[in-house]
Amino acid sequence: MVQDVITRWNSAYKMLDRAVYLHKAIDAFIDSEDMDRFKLSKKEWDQAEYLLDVLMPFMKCSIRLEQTRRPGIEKVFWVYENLFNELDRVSTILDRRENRDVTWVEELKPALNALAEKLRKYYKATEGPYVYPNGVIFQPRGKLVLFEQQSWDKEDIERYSNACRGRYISQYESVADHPIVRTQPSCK
Amino acid sequence: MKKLSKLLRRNKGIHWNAKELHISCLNHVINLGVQDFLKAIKALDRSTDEPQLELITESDDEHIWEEHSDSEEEDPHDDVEQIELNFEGSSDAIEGDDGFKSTMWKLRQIAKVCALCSVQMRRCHHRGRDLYATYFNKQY
Repeated sequence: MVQDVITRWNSAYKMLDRAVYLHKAIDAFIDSEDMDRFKLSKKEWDQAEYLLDVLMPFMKCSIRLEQTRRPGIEKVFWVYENLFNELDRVSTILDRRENRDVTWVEELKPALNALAEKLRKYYKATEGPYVYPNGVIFQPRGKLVLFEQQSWDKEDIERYSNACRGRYISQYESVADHPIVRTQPSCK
Repeated sequence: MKKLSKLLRRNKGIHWNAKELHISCLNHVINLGVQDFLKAIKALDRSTDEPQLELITESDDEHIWEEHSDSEEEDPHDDVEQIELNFEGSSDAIEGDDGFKSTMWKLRQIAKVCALCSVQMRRCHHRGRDLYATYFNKQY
């Protein structure tokens, strides 16, 4: 079993993951040691599994961002897109008819809103730097695919590609016309 | 980034606004979001209260994260009494609570019990080795 620590990222996810994996072993251990005050009910195990479902995409994005050896600026918009989609998915699960009478569902809605608000606050700050859309467009496998998703407006493709093209023309095209002249002979 | 902006202006004549074009670390943003979520459902371990450091502040360049060092190896002679004391202190706040707070608290206590058990096992192992050396007059 691992324990969550407030200063360790994703430690809450790791604790929940290990606990759900060891569900039966933990129940047997608690029964054998006669520790009833630590025994989790079915409802509490359901809560643990739902929390795992909510936290998993955040854990996966966090691990993938840590693992890159090269700059990952082109991933930023994709990560926000995926995380917002995941938040919509878990919110939809809460709105299903069979979950409406579940008491702990009401506790989750403001928490999911708080999470979404925090992401939106920092997502708004990505409007300024042009490296984000440029990074997405210059990525050969991506290009304009992201801006064609449902969550984007139709004007976004034109806006971002025009801005990128305009910046290239004003700042780089003139430099590209003048090739670099070598002053030293190249080595054979 | 403010320093970079000054250097670019002074040395290259390039105007680059550090505040408008600030790039936040996305991993930190994800962590802040998850912390907000866990705080809202009261699932965080409040026994070690750490202030959350926001990334969009007045001085964007300086975020100092205080890291607590987790000891990988537990000393068998330390921490046993400390872990036991924590059980007594926390249980009063959880009585009658059936939300996420009590679920996370129970899982945390189970993790502590497992850690205690492994400490005891190592302690017995040490004790066993000492006894062996005493009676057989040689190292195990």
